[in-house]
Amino acid sequence: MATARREWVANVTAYTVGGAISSVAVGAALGLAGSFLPGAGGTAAIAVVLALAAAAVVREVWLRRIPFPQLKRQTSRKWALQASGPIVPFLWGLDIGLTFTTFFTFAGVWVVLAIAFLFGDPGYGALVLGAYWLGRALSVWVSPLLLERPNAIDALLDGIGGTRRLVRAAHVAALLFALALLAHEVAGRTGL
Amino acid sequence: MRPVALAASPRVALPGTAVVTLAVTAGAIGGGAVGSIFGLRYGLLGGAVVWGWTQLVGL
Repeated sequence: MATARREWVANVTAYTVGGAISSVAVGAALGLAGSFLPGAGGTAAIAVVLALAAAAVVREVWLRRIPFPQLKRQTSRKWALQASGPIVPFLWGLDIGLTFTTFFTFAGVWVVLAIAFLFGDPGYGALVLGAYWLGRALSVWVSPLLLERPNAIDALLDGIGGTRRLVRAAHVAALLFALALLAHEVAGRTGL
Repeated sequence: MRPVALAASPRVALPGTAVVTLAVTAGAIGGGAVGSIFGLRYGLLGGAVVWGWTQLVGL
């Protein structure tokens, strides 16, 4: 039992570290690319993020059948057959941490990427993608709390699927929260 | 997202995805609200955590 626990912690740590590396790198790269935009981080850029967040809310609440741009791929299961130990979850983390190279469920991902890009600050881009990754990795760290018994992966996935509406509502709540912050910022800057 | 080596994970309890999701959402948005006192950028970090968390249904 102790060995299994240590192995699990090592694997999830490797996954978390791998994803953190790629997420922070993507965020910094987006911020650096955005820094070359005229007006990066300015009122117009914040207004664009505001519009994207509003579009994401509309999509998640009323237009769920409309697909958004994404690569519909997952991490490779073959890696688990070709290697063993923490290197496999590390590679999965690296892959998923790239953020836009694997399948995702809700539209908020694009808001995160837009924030990192349009604010035009590599440090902040790294921070915001790091925060996004923190949320993603957290879902793996708490997964033992959601398992009825060891190996009950199918039951866990069924349970997660059963709470999809609530999870979507949480996603939309965070979008609305961001909308309020962004609108307040734009209003303050423009004197509206 | 892949469940990473979950087969070896220990059973602890079963609070449920819904409970954990509500807790994470409330905590992150609450943290973002506090962070927003120091500026928009800190406030948005709370939203980013929730957006990451909620991708857990995209397995």
